[in-house]
Amino acid sequence: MKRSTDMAVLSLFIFFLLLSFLPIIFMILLSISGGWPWPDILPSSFNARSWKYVLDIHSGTWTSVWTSLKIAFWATFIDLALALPAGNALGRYEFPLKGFLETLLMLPILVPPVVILMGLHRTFISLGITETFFGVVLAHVVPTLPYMIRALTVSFGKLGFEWEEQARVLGAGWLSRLFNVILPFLMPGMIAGSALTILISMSQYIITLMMGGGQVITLTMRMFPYINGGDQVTGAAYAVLFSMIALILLIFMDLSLNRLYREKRL
Amino acid sequence: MGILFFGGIFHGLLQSLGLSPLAGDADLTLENYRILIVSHDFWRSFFLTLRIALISTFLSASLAIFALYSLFLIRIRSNRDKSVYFQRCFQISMLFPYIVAAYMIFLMFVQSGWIARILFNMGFISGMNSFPIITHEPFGWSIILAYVWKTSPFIVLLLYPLILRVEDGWIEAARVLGAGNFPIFREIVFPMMTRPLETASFIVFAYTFGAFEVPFILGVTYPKVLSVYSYQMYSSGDLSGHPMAMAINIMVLFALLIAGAFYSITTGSYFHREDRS
Repeated sequence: MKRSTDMAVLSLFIFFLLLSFLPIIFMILLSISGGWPWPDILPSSFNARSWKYVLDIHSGTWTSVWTSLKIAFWATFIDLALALPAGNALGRYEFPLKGFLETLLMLPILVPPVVILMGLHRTFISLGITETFFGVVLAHVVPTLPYMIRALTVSFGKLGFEWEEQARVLGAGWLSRLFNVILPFLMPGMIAGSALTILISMSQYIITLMMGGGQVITLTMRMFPYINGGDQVTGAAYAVLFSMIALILLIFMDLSLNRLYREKRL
Repeated sequence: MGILFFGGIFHGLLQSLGLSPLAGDADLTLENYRILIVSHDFWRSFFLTLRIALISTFLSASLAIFALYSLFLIRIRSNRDKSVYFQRCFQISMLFPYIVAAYMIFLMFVQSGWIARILFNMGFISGMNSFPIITHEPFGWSIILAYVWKTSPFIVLLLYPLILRVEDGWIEAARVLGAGNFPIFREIVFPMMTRPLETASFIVFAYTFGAFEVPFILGVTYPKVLSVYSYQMYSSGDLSGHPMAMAINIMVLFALLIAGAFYSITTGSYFHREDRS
């Protein structure tokens, strides 16, 4: 009896897995379809029209990819600068109201970023940073920072003080302690936090629109008109392009993490 | 950063109370809230948002538990690596931003979409009109589908490490005592997961309650979810919409605060403290 119910559960699970892959296969097919009349399950003809358009240098796709990456990079940089001291304090020190502060720093995960940024919008206008690259970077820090702090708090917690102390006893200078003790412990957290930050930053639509005022064109912004009632085939090509970029970034992060684990044998 | 965060909320609060730091007028008033509270449209939006968030969270958590049980079975029946591999596959939807997820769900489930075509060719439906309308309809089914597709892998991601932590010895012991796979899961694995599951579900609830992109693409003109309602008031071009938009935002925060308090009381402590281990 056990075996057959297990099999039923696993089959249903595989069915769900396939179901979650279905939209992706569909999207890829749609992006290369020429015509697709009802009720055909497969397109009646294929062509590369949408891909030619999307990948064409004049369509602005590559500029927007570059803008997305630059914003993601700067947001990650600011996140790291803010999260390193925060993670250090939360991961290694005990102080009054620590639990409260921890909850407070996690709040932006729970509070919709749109709510925060709508309130700040006028202030940003009076500071003259709306419709600028910097304004958008700052806006992207809001939803991403909690994840970076979380990742680094865990890393600092693992680091503790003992390892550093031991290295000091053995005569390691601060530079050598930094590179041989502290950084290897923090690297996995930094990479994981950065991966999340980059993914979240690249996915943002509404806060980029609001802070960028339509002047800062990321890949998501470029894609949006096609997705929202525009040409479906082009929209599908953009969606596939976006996920490929995300996949490449993630694989890259994953590989560097694995290499790190192997090298340092953490 | 704290200034950025609380500044945003504080400014919103001031504006919703009729105090605009830039316009210079300073009549403290609850008028905006009064208008909202007696507004039929606001409450329709509110309950639509609440319903979508609750159903999404419930379905997402249920699917996640089912997936975790399956991964657990794979782990104990064959091996650990295979289970890790399947777990990775289940994460696939996390690669797509919410707007793309919404778009995919739209293309799959629209009346002329892929699902309808497949059902038609299998003979389940007689034409595209007999496929139920689930995109751009007032209940928000397609919004829920998009949220479940995106968020259940997130819950699995947070809880999966616990499955790996179950030691073979425990399972052996339970086996010797005559327990089947499901009782082992229910009695050993599930109790380890309840706290992180509550946290993850609360994050999903808070997210789906306040999120913008998915309902913006898949929703209908009326009723709108609160975030879209607020944004459209804000961007209507007329500055008079701003205080009202802020008042809606503050109501969203207030609702999340109540949900958070409810969560803390039922689970008995702050959130985020238990998933440290």
